[in-house]
Amino acid sequence: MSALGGPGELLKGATTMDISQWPILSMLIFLPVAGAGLLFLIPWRGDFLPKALALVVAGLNLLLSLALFRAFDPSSSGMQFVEKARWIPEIGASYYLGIDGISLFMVLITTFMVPMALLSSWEQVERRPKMFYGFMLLLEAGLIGIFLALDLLLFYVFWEVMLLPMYFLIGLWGGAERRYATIKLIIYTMGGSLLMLVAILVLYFIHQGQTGEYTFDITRLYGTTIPPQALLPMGLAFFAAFAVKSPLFPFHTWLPDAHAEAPISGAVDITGLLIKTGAYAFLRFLLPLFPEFSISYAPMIVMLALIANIYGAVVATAQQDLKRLIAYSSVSHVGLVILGIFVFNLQGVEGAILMMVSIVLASGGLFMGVGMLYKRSRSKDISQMGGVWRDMPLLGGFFMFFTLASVGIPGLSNFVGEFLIFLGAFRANTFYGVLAAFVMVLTAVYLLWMFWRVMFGPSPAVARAWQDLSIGETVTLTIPAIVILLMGVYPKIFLDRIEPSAKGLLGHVEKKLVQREDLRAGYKSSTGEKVHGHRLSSR
Amino acid sequence: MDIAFPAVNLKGVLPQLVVTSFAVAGLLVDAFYRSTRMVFAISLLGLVLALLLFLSNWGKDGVYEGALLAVDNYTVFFNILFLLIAVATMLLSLHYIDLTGVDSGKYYPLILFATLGMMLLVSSMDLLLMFLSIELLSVSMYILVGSQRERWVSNEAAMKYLLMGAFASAFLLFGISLVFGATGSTSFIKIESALGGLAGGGPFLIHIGIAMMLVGLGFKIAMVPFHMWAPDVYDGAPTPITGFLSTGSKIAVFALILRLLMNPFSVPYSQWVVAFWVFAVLSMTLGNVAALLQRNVKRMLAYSSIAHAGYILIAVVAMDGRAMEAALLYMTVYAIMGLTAFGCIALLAKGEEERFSIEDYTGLAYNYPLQAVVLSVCLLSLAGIPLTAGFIGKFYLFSAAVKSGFIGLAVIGVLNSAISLYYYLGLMLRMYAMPTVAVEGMGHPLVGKLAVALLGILILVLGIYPSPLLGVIKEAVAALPAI
Repeated sequence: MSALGGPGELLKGATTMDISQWPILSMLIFLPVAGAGLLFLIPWRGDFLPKALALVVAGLNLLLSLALFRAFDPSSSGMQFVEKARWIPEIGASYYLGIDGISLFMVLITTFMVPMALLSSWEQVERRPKMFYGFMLLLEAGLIGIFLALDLLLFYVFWEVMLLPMYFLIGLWGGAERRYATIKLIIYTMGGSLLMLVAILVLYFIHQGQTGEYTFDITRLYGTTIPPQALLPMGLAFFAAFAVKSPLFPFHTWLPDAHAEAPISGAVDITGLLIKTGAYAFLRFLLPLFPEFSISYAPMIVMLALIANIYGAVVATAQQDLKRLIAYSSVSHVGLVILGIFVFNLQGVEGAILMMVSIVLASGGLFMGVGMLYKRSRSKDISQMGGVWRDMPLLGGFFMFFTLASVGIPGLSNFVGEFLIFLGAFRANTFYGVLAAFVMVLTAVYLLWMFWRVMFGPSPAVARAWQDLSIGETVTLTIPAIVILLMGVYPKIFLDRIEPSAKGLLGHVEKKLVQREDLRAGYKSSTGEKVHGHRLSSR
Repeated sequence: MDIAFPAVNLKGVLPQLVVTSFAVAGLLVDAFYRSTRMVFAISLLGLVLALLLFLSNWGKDGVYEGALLAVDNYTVFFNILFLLIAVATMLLSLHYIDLTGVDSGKYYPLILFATLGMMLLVSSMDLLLMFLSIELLSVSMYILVGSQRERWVSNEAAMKYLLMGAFASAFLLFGISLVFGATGSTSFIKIESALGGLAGGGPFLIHIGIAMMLVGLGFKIAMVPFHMWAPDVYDGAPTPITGFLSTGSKIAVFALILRLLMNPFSVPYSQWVVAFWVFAVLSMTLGNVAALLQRNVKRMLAYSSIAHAGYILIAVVAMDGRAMEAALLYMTVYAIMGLTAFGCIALLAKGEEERFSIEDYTGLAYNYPLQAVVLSVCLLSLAGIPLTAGFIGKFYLFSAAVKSGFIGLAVIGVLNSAISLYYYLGLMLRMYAMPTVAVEGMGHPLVGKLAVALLGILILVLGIYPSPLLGVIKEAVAALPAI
């Protein structure tokens, strides 16, 4: 590592602060685990107590993460609140957690959305709510673990284990075709990540060959020089694992199925939470570990992202099923996020992170609305809706708000992320920018058309007595709406904290790239040219 | 061929003698008193005593020279493992065999004899002792498999196993005689020194001999293409015995194969790597694909056990220090998983009838919460999901393969793991699905439940904190001659 000139600088200068005396990151992971343990192990009578307990645990975790947010040092680009302990010393695996500006908001949005999902499913889970809530808490723990792990093996453990609660949530509480959906989800995602395991092992041994040290510590592994012949297969293995989970076109086909069959509140987490692990992993692992791969194949990845963006929007237009429509809109939005990541400039990356948070909120809100509609209509079919506005003006209002947020109306959260991504795309290549901006129009078309059909379209002749939102439901929808507004109006609190880490990441990628070019000046002039065309630029 | 009476160090074989005498004592007690409980107690006592003796042997210097038996950390490790497997099998059988019409007076002593066969097998330093141990193990197993005399599947399984096993033994014996012909000795040490000086891995004869032996041994570990017997036998045997057969017997032969390849056949081995590569890939792939199609849980686990033999063969291909550690680790982990899986199935039986069909498992979790949780943990472990012992085992195997440069093999291994998720997780989810018909609950003995609960906890503990076991395995491997 020393020979390569301190590539761990990205993560150097881990600061310590007041509440960092506590192992706050471990608490974030293990509090939900403990909650789930209580839910599973105690033979509860009735449903209210376990539900309340789950909500309290999720709420406590949210408070904990807010405390973390307050104590977070926005000026530092390094890892904060670092916790490190030996785990399996025989193979050099450690229990190593840390948080920076990139993962901070991922954690926050997770701790925020889980109580929301619990609230929105309060009345809707009829069968065995105790288990349902337990699995939701386990899912939360797994997701937070993914965002905090700085040891590659630990990351892999969370990455895989997180799928199990997901599997149960869809498999036990899902729709009619849930068996097919769960199998597809598991085979796709685990198949992708198992190949990554082999690549992790190769990386581990390459690193050992270069430094004589067995370690999975990513801050050390960042300094590994990958031999050119191994670069493509290894990069591809990582890329595929993350692309499946993102999901990037053409690896997205599991999502609409999983999404359509998922329980309403579980689906909030699929759209938002599961998906952003993929995009996050691109930032945390693929870019810094394989900068050459990322840069030289960026044009192809960007192409896929743009195709996903357009394809998702076009297919979403044709959907009759509300859940599938939102799933394809997620495919489309994720394309935009990945575009932002692979244009390699500060605006793009910042926009991508902001966008990830924002999609969760906007699609999540939309989804909760669909859930409330489903509770009354027992249908997700758009043609069965129509004229909902007349029956439920309050729900209609919220639905409009979240639809507009998803479309990217200025003043709401999606706009900021999209705008930054467009900016970054234009700086990298005008063509990308134009194409991405064009998709905005398509997005508006399918979302607004969906809204029109649901709210104002001709309603079926059947008489229906749908109650408008209850107070609980109104509160559930109001909270994300407030956050969306806040993000749209005053994104500075978010950007301030993201920027140092994003800069640090891009700086690291560029530095490592320059080192490589110096090391192998003569290597592959053709890719060298491409690298030049893509020269990184920070603001 | 001169067979001098070897100067056996009686202290070295004391545990084996203990197991033998307690097994005989058990048979005698059965003959004169017909007290099942007493036979059980005597057999268990013998196993525990032998276990204690072995524990005191741990960490001492190896004894080989001029002896038939090796007593070093490697063999002690496996002996302890076999004894533990036998204890677990006995605890899981306790109630089950009374229900299913097995003559328990012979059953427990036979488990002891089979265990003795495994113990001698892994310790043997001579081809003849090796053959005798395999026969002891196999004959005991033939009887155990057929011990449910009322059920015709059990009889069919025993007959099939016996016929095929005898055939395999013939191959093994023929291989041994060829090796003897080529090297002039049956002692591992002498064979090695005879082969060591020869260029090109020895004469052609030795390769034919190894091939024949491989057929015989490959049959015992149910390696594709010698696996045909396994599904029928595993399906027909009493379930605790299926667990015993799929873990103990398989591991014993694997431990022997590793020793053979390390020690006497290290020179010709280099020309067998490709063959083992092919066997590994075939076993993994065929096992997993066939398991996908099964509707019978025991047959599904039988095919999955073939696949797991394929995973262990990855270590045989890679064959260096790390691979040896991986092999030992995986065998230990597999022993726990196999016992747990079949133990849970035995404890999910309703009365005299077992639940074979996958449909019978729908919604079982609500009547048998403990068994369902443990079986789920075990299935996750078999699938290699992190935080279970199975993941650590697979991780070690794949890392050994990658380290030795067999990246293709590691990729095939992980793809197979992905396939296996389908049937393992499918069964798991089924147990938690809403039951379509009412499932009648039924009590099961506390001992068995405690045993599987303990095994399940062990799977999780080893998955989260494997370091102590890894340390022990490192010492065990260090006892073998360096590669």
